[in-house]
Amino acid sequence: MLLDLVYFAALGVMTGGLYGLLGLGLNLIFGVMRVINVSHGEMLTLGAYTAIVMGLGGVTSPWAAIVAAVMVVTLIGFLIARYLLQPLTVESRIDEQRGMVLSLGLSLVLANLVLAVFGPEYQRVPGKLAEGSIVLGDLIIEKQRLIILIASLVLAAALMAFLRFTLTGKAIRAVGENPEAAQASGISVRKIHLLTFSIGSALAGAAGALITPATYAFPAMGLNYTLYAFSVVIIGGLGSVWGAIFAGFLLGIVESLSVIWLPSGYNTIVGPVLMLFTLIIRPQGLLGVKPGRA
Amino acid sequence: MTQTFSARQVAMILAVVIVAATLPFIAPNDFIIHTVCIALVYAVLAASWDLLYGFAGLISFGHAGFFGLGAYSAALFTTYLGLPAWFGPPVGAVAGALLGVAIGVPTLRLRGVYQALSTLAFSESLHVVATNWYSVTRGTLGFNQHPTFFRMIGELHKSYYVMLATCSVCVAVIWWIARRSRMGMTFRAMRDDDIRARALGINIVQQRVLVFTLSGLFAGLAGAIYAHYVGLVSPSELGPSLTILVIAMSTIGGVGTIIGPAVAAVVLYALTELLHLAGTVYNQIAIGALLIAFVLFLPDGIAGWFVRHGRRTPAKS
Repeated sequence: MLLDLVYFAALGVMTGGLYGLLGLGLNLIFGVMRVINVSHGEMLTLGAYTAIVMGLGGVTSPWAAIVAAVMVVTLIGFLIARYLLQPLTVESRIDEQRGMVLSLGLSLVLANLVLAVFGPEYQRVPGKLAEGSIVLGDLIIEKQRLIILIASLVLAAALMAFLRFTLTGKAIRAVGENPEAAQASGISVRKIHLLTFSIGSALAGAAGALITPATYAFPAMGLNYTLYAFSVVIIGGLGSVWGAIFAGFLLGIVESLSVIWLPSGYNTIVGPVLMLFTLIIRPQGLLGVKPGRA
Repeated sequence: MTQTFSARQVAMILAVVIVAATLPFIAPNDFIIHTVCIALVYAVLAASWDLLYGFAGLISFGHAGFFGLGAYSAALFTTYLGLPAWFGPPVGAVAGALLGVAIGVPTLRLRGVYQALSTLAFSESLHVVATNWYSVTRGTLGFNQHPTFFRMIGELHKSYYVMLATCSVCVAVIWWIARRSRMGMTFRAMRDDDIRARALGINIVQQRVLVFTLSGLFAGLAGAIYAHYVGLVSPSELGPSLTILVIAMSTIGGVGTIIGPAVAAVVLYALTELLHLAGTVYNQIAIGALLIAFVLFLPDGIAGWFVRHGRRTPAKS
């Protein structure tokens, strides 16, 4: 029993890193542009399918696939921000409700475009991130999943360093704090919005390409990740980077442990239920400071 | 607030009424009648969404939750108590209303995106339960043990008139609540400026729960009617694509008008059924693309376009 707990907790930590990464991207977009991107999970789908296409094209290295996915999804994110979200921006702010509804339509379009092009089958990539497993006594951990965790953390750390130490990163945070003041200090809110959305999407795309060697890709995969990304943002607290990482691990572990007590299939309920509790009890999130009003 | 109708409007309304009343006799095949029946259910659903968003300013990302809960409650209730189908719709309405209270009360403090996400979380939780609670809902196979109003084959005409009557009455009642009653005015006051509304003596807490309850009631009722018409309830009735469809219908029709979303629901559903011939994938893409286009270029929908172009349609509230 104890071993089970440790094993599932370890599994949870590994998926949790991914949830954290996904939530971080969404949190960035949400925090800076004040728009909830319902199509965030579809960015992950697009990343995963970029990896599939690379595999079909004969590129077996998953790392090359990740780089390609980041580039493709960054471009798509940029186009969405430029041509769909920019027209909704009035005086440095995106119309909250129109933005929400638009991204809803976008998620429907993207998921079904993938379905139309690639068909409903579950697909895999040929390459693996690493072969074999690490054996710690009775505990067996796939090396691949460990690499996914480490890569997620590295990407998260890179984003945090970028936001903290570079001038552009500071500008992004300034726009998140107060777009008018940022604009008045000479920051182009327009450009920051484009950059933010591209970066946030790129992280989701990277996540998509990262997980495909360990699991499989299918057109509707994005929805569940969208839900988990929202849960991460809400539970961790809007604008809180540490909150997102903490909430990612929390969700991953709870979801993984729930397998022990809940019948199989129910584990996807963990995200929405924890999100709901957080919204009701502590709308600002565990580590957030702003109240849950927007 | 009395309104006069122009001769042209009277003629149009009359034409719609005549076509609706005689459809079973003029339709070339049963498929068209069936499509219209389902489309009418969507009209109620879209109108109930509009009541929440267009009038009270509360966005629901989980309307499928109300619809699916209404459908499942009605189906399960009539099956296990061995009652005829006619008991289903009231049960569905009550279930939807209760869910409205259940969502409305705990999320009172929330605004905007937070409130939208809480409705999404609610309906997704229900979706997971309906998918996995096999012994009760029969999971993804769908539940089909409950009675239907009439048989699908041979008695479609009777079904059609039942659907036409209930759905028209529902949309009319929603319209009246939203645009003619005190309640509707209170909701609008709350939407436009909740601080001022509070200063005017409106109990915001009470009104928010009330509008959630009403919207849930009609959405649950729509679900129950659907369940007892089609005879099959599946977890996809609780899924996000249904919510997206309803939001698309309302946005395209014109939020804040009730009639716009209801009409758009009928037209859009009929169109997507025709597009079905080209494959479900493409009709989903078409709906999504249409939704995006309307949000970008015509955010107040077709009804809004009519208003701006000076037709004598009722002005947007």
